[in-house]
Amino acid sequence: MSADLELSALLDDVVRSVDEDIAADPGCPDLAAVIARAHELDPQRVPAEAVHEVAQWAPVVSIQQGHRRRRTRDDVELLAARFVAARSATEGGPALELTDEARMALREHRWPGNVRELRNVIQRAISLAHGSRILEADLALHDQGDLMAVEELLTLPYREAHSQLDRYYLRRVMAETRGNITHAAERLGTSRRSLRERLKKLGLVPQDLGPTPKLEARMAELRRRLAPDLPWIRG
Amino acid sequence: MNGVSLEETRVAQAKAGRMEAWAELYQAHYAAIFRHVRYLGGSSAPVEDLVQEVFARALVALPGFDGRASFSTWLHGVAVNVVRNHWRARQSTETAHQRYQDINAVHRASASNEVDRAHMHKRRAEAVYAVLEQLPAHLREAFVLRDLEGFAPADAAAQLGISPGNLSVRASRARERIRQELEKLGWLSPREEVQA
Repeated sequence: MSADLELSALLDDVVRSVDEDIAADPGCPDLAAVIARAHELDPQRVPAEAVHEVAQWAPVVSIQQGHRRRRTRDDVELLAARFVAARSATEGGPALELTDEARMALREHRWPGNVRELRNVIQRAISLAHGSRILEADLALHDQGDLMAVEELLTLPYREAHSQLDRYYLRRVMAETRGNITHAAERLGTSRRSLRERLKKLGLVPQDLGPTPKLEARMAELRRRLAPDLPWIRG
Repeated sequence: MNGVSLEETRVAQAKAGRMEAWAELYQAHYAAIFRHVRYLGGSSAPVEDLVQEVFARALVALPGFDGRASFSTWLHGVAVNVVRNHWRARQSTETAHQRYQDINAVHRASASNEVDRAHMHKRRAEAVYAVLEQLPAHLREAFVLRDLEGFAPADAAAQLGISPGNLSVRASRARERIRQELEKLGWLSPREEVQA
């Protein structure tokens, strides 16, 4: 091998190792930690709106100041309770509380976005809630990675149905390869670049790829019904 | 062009203190900055921590952003500075040469044992970074931006605040030094026509 090719192969290994790290990265962490850090650097230059938000998130931000970067389920519950309390206090109505089912749903839900997303869900739930209790239904959480029922899928135009199935299928492969795009691409017989582009197009991000048991069951049903006609879901 | 003007609007809103706009910029650029920092810092760098530092510094410095370069180029430049500080601190707390020796030792061990391919690829990537660490910062950065990240000369030069010509000279010098070091360590075969 010529020296140039050898060097190029070594650099390819660097690119591969970076790709793997990026594929394993769970994505954008909460902005609150960034704001808190900026505030430490120069409090005068951080917008007041940002400072207000950090103050609201203070207990969680202080935990995230270390190297821990993902929210735990306890954090989600704690934050949700704070948002509910803050909203109840500002609106002056009856004190609201989350039911056990609602709290459980919040804990179980995957939160690909930042804290803002959780707050939006809570605000919407408060406006939907009747009485003093926020029910699971008020949260209107739905698993965006869910696969629709087979009959419903069959009513869609081919391209849309394909995307739905593709989304589910790739989520599953990515979950099984622990978000490693290189391994997933090898398994699918495609290039990393194509797979990455497809994942991007489908709006799939590494932290949002795990199928639930319910989805597994639906996929099994779908396989039984459609596998002979859909080559892309053959193992 | 719409994308550019939308971003400019977001930047202007963020400069005016609108956190929604800043959050959008943060989300839109997070992946690219993560990649950039990972390339510049190597696998042993605390990438997540450095990326957080980049955005924190950018938030503080945003009022001074004059729009002469694109927001993305400016942000990548902030990242270069953050990683540069990291390298500096790291060199004062650890012995870069020791790590270089360690990589060399691992290479010899790997060559005598059968290790799996993935592990070997990782070791090879680490070897490149061990060599990069021996280079002066200005050569290392030019090489990473041009040869690893593949930025166009003008973009890479803008991030480093130098001319494209200067960038090419630095990248070329870095390439030659890296090649020599990797040959010395046995990761590259020696060239036949080296003398002349």
